[in-house]
Amino acid sequence: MRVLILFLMLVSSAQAKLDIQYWTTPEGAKVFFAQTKGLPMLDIQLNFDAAASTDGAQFGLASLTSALLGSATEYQNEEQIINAFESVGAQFSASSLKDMSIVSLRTLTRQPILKKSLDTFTQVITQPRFIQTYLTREKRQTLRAIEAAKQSPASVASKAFAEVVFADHPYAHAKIGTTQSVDQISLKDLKQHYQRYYVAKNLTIALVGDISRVQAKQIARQISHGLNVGAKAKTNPMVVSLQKAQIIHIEFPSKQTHLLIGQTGINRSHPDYYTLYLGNHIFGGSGLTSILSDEIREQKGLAYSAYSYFTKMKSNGFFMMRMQTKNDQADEAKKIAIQTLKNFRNNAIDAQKLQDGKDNIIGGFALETASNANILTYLSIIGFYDLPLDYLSSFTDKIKDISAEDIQKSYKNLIDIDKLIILSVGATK
Amino acid sequence: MKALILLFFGLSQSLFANSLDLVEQGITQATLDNGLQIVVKIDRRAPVFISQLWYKVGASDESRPTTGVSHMLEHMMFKGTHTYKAGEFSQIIARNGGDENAFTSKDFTAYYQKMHRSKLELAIKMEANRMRNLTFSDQELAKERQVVIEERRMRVEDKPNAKVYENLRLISFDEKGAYHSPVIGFQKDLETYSLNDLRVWYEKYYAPNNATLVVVGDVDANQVIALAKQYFGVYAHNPNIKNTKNPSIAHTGKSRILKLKAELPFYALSFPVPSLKTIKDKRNAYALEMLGYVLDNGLSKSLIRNQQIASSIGVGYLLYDKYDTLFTLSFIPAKGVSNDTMLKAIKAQVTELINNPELIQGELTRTKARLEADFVFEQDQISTQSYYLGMLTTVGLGIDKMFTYVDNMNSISASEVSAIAKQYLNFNQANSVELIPQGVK
Repeated sequence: MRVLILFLMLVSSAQAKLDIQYWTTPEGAKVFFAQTKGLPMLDIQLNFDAAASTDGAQFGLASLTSALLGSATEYQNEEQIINAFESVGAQFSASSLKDMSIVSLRTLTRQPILKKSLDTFTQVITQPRFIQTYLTREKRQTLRAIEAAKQSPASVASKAFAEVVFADHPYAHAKIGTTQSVDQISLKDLKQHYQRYYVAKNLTIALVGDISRVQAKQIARQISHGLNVGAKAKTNPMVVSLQKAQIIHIEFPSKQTHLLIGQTGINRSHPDYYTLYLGNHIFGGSGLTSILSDEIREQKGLAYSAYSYFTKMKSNGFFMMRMQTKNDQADEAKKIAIQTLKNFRNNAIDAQKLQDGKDNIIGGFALETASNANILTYLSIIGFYDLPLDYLSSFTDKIKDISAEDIQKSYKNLIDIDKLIILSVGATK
Repeated sequence: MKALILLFFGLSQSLFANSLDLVEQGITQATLDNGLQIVVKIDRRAPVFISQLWYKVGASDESRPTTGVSHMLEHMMFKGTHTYKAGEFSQIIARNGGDENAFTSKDFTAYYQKMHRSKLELAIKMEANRMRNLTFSDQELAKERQVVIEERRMRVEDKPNAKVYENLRLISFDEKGAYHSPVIGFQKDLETYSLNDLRVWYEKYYAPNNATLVVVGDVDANQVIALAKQYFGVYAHNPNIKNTKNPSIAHTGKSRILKLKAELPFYALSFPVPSLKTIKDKRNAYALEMLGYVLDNGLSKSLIRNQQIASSIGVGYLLYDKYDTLFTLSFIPAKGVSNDTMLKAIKAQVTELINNPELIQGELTRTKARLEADFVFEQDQISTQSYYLGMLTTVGLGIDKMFTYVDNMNSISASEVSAIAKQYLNFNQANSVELIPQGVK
């Protein structure tokens, strides 16, 4: 280890301003690269627009396709692939959300380690084989995951909330699918999903680590070259706003009631994006110091965690307040949460709160890009959601001049207190 | 094994031969006259730092009827001092761009702030302020007690598998020693202890000679030490803190069945084992650690991927526990597979590992490669670096363990892994908790 550590020391003083480089591969994949020095490692994240919102009626298809990546290629079986990554200490993972299907690699940059991990990674992505045995196994694992979700009141609540707020939208269903939908998915479906969506034009590549731009170009090219050019996934429609309030209770034998209160939200290109972002940071997005947490936890001791957030996806997502409290306090918590939101929407916050929120975001902004992992996440977001290259460097400028009235206005425009989803999961008996 | 690994990575062995030099790792250590230990590690990749204050007190020091008092005190540390009102600590750190929190475990309680490098003095000054000066308010305790009880409901009561682990510790450790009671405490104790219990705990354990300040990031080590002197140096050494010991007392052969409102079965086993701290021959602790990795990988491969009789498998060993600890095995069987089938398969694999160490050679080599890479990956987060530095100091192992870990693990042979499995994985003596799901309707 000593050699490695000495090497770390030699370069650990390097601290350059984050320089994001962007290009497109000949096959049409968008590449975002940031060189970081100090650690002899590389992170690669491939983001395909291939996730649950592309499932169509086959709920769970995208997740299953993702789960089988790495199970076999044209040249290697599952154990050979796992051994190939492990023998060089590389970390491979594949996961699938609602918009993004993510395939990632974390590896040392020393040769021959880098070459071996990249070659295996490329093969897994570009020449997968979908084999029935593995599909059968992953389906059984998915059915277990569906059962696991049923015993967690938090998961039951999340699933029910998404189904209500997204209604007929492709975001509505759980990404792991249902017992019935998973059962009907075939190997052919997986192959088609892969052929259609795991293509260069539907891919953004994020690279962060101690490699040169020339190396980054070669790596991106290697991955992109092995994929079909294909076409971008179709854009999902916007989510339709709720027409009326929905009060839903799901009986569950838990000690706590999980409360989820919210409604249709925004996407990243919403004109009030930064205003709502700052507003939510102050309202419920900054831990113990936020208004919602202060009312629910600090003032009343009603819950361990009380927070709010906007999902930020391609189509507009949702705004949600979330907390959990013992069953017989659920009504009180609900009333306070809604009243707190009402106050926030109807009255501009005081100057101190506004300043505190800005100071927290601006003063702490250096923390946002303090690790390769953080930078990788930002590059992925910038790439996948078509954000400007100066998204990070201009962020604090976008925040600093927002007024309390701007925030109040943006909440007033977005949040209709009379059309909230008020969802509770817990025991009333 | 070591030579093989080195050749593989194309490094020359002679370069590894020197002794460990912490200065070359960018580390400075100091101890103030009042006993406060200080560890600084320079990392200039970003203009930020993390400052952590570690107290040598946790759930392993507790007993009925005040279990959970370390964690409750951690919550009260945000509830005001003679200088700052309740909540003001968090507010000031937040408006200075900081990210802050705290965590309590069996052997420690720790507080941290992650901030821009220009805020170093503020972080140290405020953390020092609450080492003493805490105002104990009955009103604040009344609310915070409810918050912690809600935390317990969320983390344990409504999570079937968490209950299994809690019960596994209850049966594996005697109530007269450490590690029996949950870190968060028993509900009954949470409901009943008084403000005075917290005050006593604070007076007893919160002193400079029972704490370690760890700072990792873009800072100057001398400045950290100077600031620590300025703000912590004013407190007197507390002569009443004697390293009170409360060793764990392990049980064997205990079992418990939990019928819970759940959908999935879950089964957990424990084997009492020493930790690195308590073991006689230190190599054996690394052999146990290696056994954990090899079994986790090996069982996942054979039972989840190949035979497909398991849905999940977990193997754990707590190398850095202060007292004798547990080696644990847990699983969720695949649908339609019984726990007995799973147990038989696990036992068969362990027997094979004991009888034929050469079979795990490949697994061992790959694990070593992975651990060496992980050591680099872990440096990506200053919070991970400071965690190891603080935790190792707090349990009394010393920070060199962080840097010798990979070499120590590299030196373990397949036959040592087999021998350690034979010595400790005695299934007839294992403790077990079985969850039989009753459905959530």
